[in-house]
Amino acid sequence: MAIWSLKGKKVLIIDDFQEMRVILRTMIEPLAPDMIKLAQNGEEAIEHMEETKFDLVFCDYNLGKGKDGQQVLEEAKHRELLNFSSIYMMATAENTSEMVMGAIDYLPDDYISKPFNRTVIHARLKKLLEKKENLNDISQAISEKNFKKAITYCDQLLESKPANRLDLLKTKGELLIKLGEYDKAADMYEDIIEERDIPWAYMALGRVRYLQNDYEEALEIFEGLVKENPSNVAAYDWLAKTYEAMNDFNKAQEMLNIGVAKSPKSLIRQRNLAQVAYKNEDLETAKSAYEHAINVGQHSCYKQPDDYNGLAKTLVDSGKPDDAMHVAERIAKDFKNDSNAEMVAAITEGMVHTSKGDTEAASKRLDAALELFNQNPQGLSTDIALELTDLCLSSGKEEQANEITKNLIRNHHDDKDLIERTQKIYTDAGKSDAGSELIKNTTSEIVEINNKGAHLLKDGKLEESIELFMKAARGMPDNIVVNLNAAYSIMMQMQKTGKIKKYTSRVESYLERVHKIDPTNKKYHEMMEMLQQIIVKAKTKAA
Amino acid sequence: MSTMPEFDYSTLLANSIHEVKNSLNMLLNSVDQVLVDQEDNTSETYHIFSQIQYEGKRVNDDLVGLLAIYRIKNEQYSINIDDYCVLDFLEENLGQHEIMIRHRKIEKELECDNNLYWFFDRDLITGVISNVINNLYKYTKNKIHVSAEKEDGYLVIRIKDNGPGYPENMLIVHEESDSQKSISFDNSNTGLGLYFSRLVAEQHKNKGRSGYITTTNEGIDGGGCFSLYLP
Repeated sequence: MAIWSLKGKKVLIIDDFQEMRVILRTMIEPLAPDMIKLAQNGEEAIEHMEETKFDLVFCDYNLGKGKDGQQVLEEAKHRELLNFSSIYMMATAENTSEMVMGAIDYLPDDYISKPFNRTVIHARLKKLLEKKENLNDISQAISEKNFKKAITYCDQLLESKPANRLDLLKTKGELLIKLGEYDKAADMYEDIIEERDIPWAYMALGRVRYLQNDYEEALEIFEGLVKENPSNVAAYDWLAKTYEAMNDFNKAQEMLNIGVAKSPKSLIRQRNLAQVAYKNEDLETAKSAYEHAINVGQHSCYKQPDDYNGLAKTLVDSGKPDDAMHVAERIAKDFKNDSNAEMVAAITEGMVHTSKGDTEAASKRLDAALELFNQNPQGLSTDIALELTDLCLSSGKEEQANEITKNLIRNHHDDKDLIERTQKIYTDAGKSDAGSELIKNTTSEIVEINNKGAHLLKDGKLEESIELFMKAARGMPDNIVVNLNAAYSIMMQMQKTGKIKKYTSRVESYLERVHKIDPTNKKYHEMMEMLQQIIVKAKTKAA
Repeated sequence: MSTMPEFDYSTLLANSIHEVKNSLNMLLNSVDQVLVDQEDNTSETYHIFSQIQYEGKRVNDDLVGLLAIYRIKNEQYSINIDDYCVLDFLEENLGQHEIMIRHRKIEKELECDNNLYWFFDRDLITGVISNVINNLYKYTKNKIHVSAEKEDGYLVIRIKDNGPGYPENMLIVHEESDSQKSISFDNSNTGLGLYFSRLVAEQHKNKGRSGYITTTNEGIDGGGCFSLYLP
């Protein structure tokens, strides 16, 4: 008899076949978990997860209509419906490699190939629980986003040269990349590769080279990977990404075409292909890829109204404004109760009307979009915001265009590419001077605020600097520098006054914003560490 | 009037295999359920269901093999190499055949170091081992011996039995430079299994070396010995 059990644990079983759910339940029941819930599709599974934090989720990859097993996992992780200690096990009827090559943050803990029997599933679960237990400290630290601490735990475990050494190194490498410690990560991967050819180590090294802007080297690594294994789709994705960074959009499209031909069921891949093809004025490919992206993404938590906008633009450029209008109208149907999508829909319809020369209808939709924009100016992606600016300028709403631009620049004053694109829109509208004046003024406004705050800090006028930066961060919540400065001033105040509780969550929320906008931002980790130190110091003082 | 779309035979085949595999999976799980619930494992019912399970597994193995061959040949199989604890992996593979091994009263032995970790595609190698074991039921007298060890930079997994051994035309010797000799499909099931095994072995590469298989009659008492070499 089993000497271990699932006592105290809650289990969720997701399978679209009733018989399979029952069989799975009878396989798990002897392990005596506290709860077993069954779900027949992804939507039902998500509902269960909203109610209960499960310790073990057992999910079939293929769930018929609706979300597939990977999309359920992505949404669960994305919305933090699972504990850091939860186990997500994916059952598959066939080869898993393509799923494994997906986003590293959204991998299940294990795959199991069908058919499997009771003996096998019990053995697997036992091993997984042991493994989770072994890595408990590391996952806890990761869930707290304390990556330095997580690395320390990795190193501690690595010291004894355990048999699962590579597993730990894989985790450590990802943590180093998250912290922006690219040199250290690269050294580590090179050591691993020295020992043996491991595809994931090459893949990770290529990513590091890309992040270090060493594109030539990155290309060489990814090309080596696809030469060795022509069906490594993720390597084609990275080849495309690298060529794009090198401004070789034709090559980028070529790589994405190969990837899509081999594995068409990825929303992100189709979206990337559509965007690059549009840039290359290959409207036929852009159209097909946008359509695929919309279809494939129907049940994904990554679906965006922007793809509909892209498809509509492509159709307008192809001389099919009526088809474009249909696409625009679909946004409301596919995104219910989503004011941001509503805004994108209005902008898209405005764009289509403009292309047909129907200025009256265009103006109406544009006004609707602007009203929504005023309610929630931060909701739009930069691409759509630029499009809205463009539309405003071409329909004589210069003042509104300027407001949108100001908001954009305030939030991204150090994004050179964005500033260039903004300038181009004004230039194309015959308002080159007005545009550059606006950009210049807005940029210097931010620089001034930051300088003023820095002076206040230097002079020890902490309260004034906090007030200044907090106000600024309210007005431009996506501005990285302003958020960092707000966090920093408050931390100075914490250090000075020793008042910790009052401020900690505020600092964290500013830093979280930074991390969300730019996950590779190094300052984020530095300041998170600083915050920890301040807290620890205050505690020892109090004791 | 609509025109018929171009008929893509190979995709149809791959999709059908996928469908059949799903049904088979359901069937095998149900049979498993019946077998687990049977108290008396000497009964006629038990015997019949074991037989169904055995044949079902063979069909499944062949389908897995066919699908993998199709994907590899079409550059659609993205091999997924990771390192695994070899003992765990082999125990799991034998566990998959537990009922049959017990039913046929086969003595099984597993020899592998607990700390041996190696690199391979778990799905593919599971397919290979399952194929070999399922074949072995037919021929072995009453023994199966599975072992794994490191040898000259390769992981070698050996599966031996005490049956009559492989017929002459199924013996495969590894030749360093030459590609391995063509496998006869005369004895259809074993032929497909060996072809699949060799293809899978060749997908495993490291530092310029590829995997391979050999079959000899150096098993227990002159029985068959299947060896899988993974670099």
